[in-house]
Parts: sequence; structure tokens; C-alpha cells
Amino acid sequence: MKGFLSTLRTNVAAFPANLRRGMHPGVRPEEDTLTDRMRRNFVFHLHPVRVATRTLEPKATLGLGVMTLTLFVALALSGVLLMIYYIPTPGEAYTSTQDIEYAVTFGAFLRALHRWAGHAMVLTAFLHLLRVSLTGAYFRRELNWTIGLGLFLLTLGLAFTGYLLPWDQLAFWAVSVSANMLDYIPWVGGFLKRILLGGREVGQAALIRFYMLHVAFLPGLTLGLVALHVWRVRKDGGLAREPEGPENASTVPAWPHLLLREAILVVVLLTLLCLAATFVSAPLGGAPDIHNPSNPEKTPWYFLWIQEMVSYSAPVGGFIFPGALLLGLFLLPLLDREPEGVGRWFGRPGNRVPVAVSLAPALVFFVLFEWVFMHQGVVSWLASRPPLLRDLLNPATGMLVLAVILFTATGILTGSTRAAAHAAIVVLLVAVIGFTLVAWCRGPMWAFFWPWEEWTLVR
Amino acid sequence: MAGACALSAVVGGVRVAVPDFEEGLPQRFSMGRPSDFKMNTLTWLQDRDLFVMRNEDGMGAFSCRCTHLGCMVRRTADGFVCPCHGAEYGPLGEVISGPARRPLPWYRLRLERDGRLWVDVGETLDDAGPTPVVLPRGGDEA
Repeated sequence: MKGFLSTLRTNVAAFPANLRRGMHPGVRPEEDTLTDRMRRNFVFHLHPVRVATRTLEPKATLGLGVMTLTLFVALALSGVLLMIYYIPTPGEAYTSTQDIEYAVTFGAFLRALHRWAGHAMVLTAFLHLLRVSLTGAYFRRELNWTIGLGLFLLTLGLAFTGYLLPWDQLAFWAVSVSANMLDYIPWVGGFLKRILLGGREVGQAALIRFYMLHVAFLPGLTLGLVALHVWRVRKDGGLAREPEGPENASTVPAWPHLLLREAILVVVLLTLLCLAATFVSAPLGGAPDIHNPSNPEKTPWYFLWIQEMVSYSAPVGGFIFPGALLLGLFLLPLLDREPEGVGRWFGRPGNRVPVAVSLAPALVFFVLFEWVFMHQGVVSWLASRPPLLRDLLNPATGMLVLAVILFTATGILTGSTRAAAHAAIVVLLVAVIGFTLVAWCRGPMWAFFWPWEEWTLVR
Repeated sequence: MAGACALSAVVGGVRVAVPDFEEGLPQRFSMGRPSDFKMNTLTWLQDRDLFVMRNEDGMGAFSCRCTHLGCMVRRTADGFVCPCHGAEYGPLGEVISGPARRPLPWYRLRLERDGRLWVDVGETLDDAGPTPVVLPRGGDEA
């Protein structure tokens, strides 16, 4: 009895020291420096102990991968808190969103944070994809490149499924219109729409499916693929560079050089995000009128380019163009296997001029195509022709053909598969950004209005 | 073996996601009596997503959902326009311009013995335009 009590007293007295020692198995914390602890830390599963000096250059990566991952974590944490109040039924989705916006403490802040982080993640994931493409960093990393493409699609899926949840007028119709685009995918489109919506139209079945995808299925899949993605980056040797490049010799310890920079980036990004969420609130429209869309009714901004192309031809805009884009990106590391200039923007120095030159025809032809198709006469003439002619003659098909032509021409002129691929990417990038801007300018009845013009119904 | 197990789990999971029943508007419903619709008018039955036309040729009902991507078309001076992607239709729902490929579908109308008009949105007609409304044969016509 007495022995037990005295042992217990000793153990309680030694409790803080034992806890510290127990949490650091195999070391003596009192002799441990910060650097030593960091080395054993979790982050050294992500980064090697030493990294190439060039990894530290901001322009090498622009920090886009770190930013995307940071935003994903911020979205997961704010999303979990929003789930406490959100109710996924047509009767209560909108009112519970109103509760979050107007009644819950920090609710409006959380909703704004979640929304802006979601938009920002689509943007950083897209720019990350672009950076990896234009620096040729996919070189001999076919698996991780494919995982990255999958992660980009998951990001779009997460953003899109989340768009419906507030269940306001904007959400309801944007998702209705986007879901109907699935009808134009041959063979499987109708089936995909049925399992996505759980019926023919957006309703209770669609809302609970979107909710499930948004809070469980897609985030879970994303988390798994992110782990694989980051693991493969390390296994593939960190930042992409030429296999025999001179910069491979120069390395620095990851702590503090790389990790401190990453930590600063995370803190700055989160600060900006909190500021944005504090001062700019997330939009919440009126309750949805399921028999009356707004005029015009637009998809989320990251699908506007598809909506613009769909206004010319639904099969080309909704399926062929995005499908070709995705297939081209998937094939990129298989078609371009040039070791020279890997990790450098636009590959070897001689490639910069031809890639820059391909920007000119891309811009000229985009403006030309749009200008021709702004004329009602052209649109009406095409309307009375067979549908196949409308699919062949429209700005989206035009830009796709131009990409193929410039891919071939640049490849033949430079003899470089990387220059050819980058020329095609430039054309498709002009198309995607251009269609997005034109669609953004569209007003009632999908008529074109310059940003400084007022929207009028009759002109 | 492991691959077959994973595949069957995926196929089973997808099968669960395929809806076995649907909620929504009934396919066949009554839209009132012929006298509810005046001669030479076009009535928008908003909660049924239908336009009802009556003129000298008779009566007819057609969808107000754009055949392009399912938005509700708006009536204009010389037909209909879809606000989403600018598809234009003529006064009988025929495609004039824009991305739509199919005209607005017309549905079968029947006058039943109770004197009410019934529309079946599962049964589309080949020809656009109002048609004579006939009472079912036989029995005690009202």
C-alpha cells in the first residue's frame, strides 16, 4: 500500500519529463536541437534532407503545388464546420445556407472562406498543370502526370458539386444547364446524367448525390491521390530537371532553406484568404424558381468556356473539344520525350521564339472566328444547314484544327516535340481563356455585350 | 482474383447509384377544360413547363423547355428564344437559329368524357401545330 502510493507519487512527479521522452522515442529531448527534431519529422517524408538549389527559385515552381494543397486543407477544415449546419434537402438547403450566412457565429466568414478557397484552388490547380506542361516537368513521370490530371478533374468535380449546395437560383440553374450537357456525350451521356442526378432533372435525388460526392466521395479520392502525387514527386527525384544537368550537383539542406520558404508561402496565402473572406462575402441569391431561369443563365466561371462553345455546337463544345484537350494532355509525356531543357520554361532556349510566334495566329484566328460568328446572318445561315455542318464550322472546331496545324508546323520547323506540344498548348490556352471572356460578356438571350455596355433585351 | 473482386465491387457500387425509381411530375395530367383557353391565344402553364395554343385549327400543347440544354424558352414577337444559349424558335417551336437541333416537342392532347383536356408528355407528335379536339366516340356525350 505504502509502496504503491510512493511509486505513484514518483511517477506523477516525473510525468512531464516522461511524457516528453515518450513522445520522442529513441532520443533525448534535452540534447535535441530544433534542426534535429525537424529532420525526423513528418515533413521529411515529403522532402529529402537535401534538395537541389534550383528548387528554391520562385520561378521554378511558382509555389503552385504548395498553394493548391494548402487550399485543399483549408477547404476540408472550413467544410467540416459548414456541415454542422447545412441540411441537404430541397426544403431546407437554402434556408440552412441562410442560417449559416446570417445567424451562425463566424458562419458568413466560413462560407466566404470556403467559397473563395474553392475558386482559388481551381485556379492554382489549373496554373500548376500549366506550369508542369510548359516546363516539360512531365518528362518520364507518366504515372504522376496522370495522377495530377486526375486531381485536376477531381478539383473541378469538387467545385461543381459544391456549386449546387446553396440551392439558390444561380446554383440550381447553373447545375441544371451543366448537367444537360452530359446528354451530348455519345453512348454513355444519358447514363452518366441519370446516376449523377438520380432522375431526369435536378431535384431531391440530385441534391443528396451532389452532397455525398462533395463531402465524402470526391474529397476521399482526392486525399488518396494527393498522397500518391506527393509521394511520387519525391520518388521521381523532386523538382524536374535534366537527367545529366549541371545543376544536379548543387544542393542545400531542405531545412531551413526550402521548408521555411514553403511555410512563409502557406502563412501568406492563408492570411490573404482570411482577409478576402472577411471583406468579400460569398454571394447568395434568391430561393430557386425551378420553372424560371434567370436571363442569361451561366455556369460557374470555370465551365464558361464550355458553355460558350456549346452555344455554337453542343457535341463539339460539350464533348469533342474538352475530350480532345484531355486526351492531348494525357498523351503529352508519351509524345514528348525530349530530355533537353526539362524543368526550364519552354524547354531549351531555342524553343522560346517558335512558341511565342504561335501566339500570334492563335489570337488572330480566335478574334476572326468570334467576329464572323457575331453576325446573325452567319448563325441563321448555318441553322438551316445540316447539324453536321454546324459541328464542323464553328470557332471551337476552328481552334482545335489550328492547334493541330501549329503542332505539326512547329514540330517540323524546330524538330522539337516539346516546341510542337507547347505551340498546341498556347493555341488551346488562348481558346479556353478567350471563350471564357466572351461567355463572361454575354448578356440576355446570350447576346454579346461589351463590359461597359448596358444589358438591353431589344437591340 | 483481387482484380475481379475490386471490379465486382465497383460494378455493384455503380448499380446502387442507378436510380430504381424517380420522383417528379406525372407524365399524364389534366390541364383544364377547352373553355379555359380562349381562341387565338397562347397560354403558359408555368408549373407544367407547357405552352397551350388554341386557334381555328384546334388546340395543342408543346414543351417550353429548350431542346438544347433544358432552359425555359421566352416568348418573343415572332416565336421563342432561350435565354441560356440563344436558341431561337418560330411561332410553332420550329428551330430558326442557334444551337438547338430539335424543335420544341408537341404532345398528345385528349378530351376525356369528363370534359377535361388531358395531356401525355410521354407521347410526342410528329407534326407541330394545333389539331382539332375530338370527343371520344360512343357513350353519352356531354
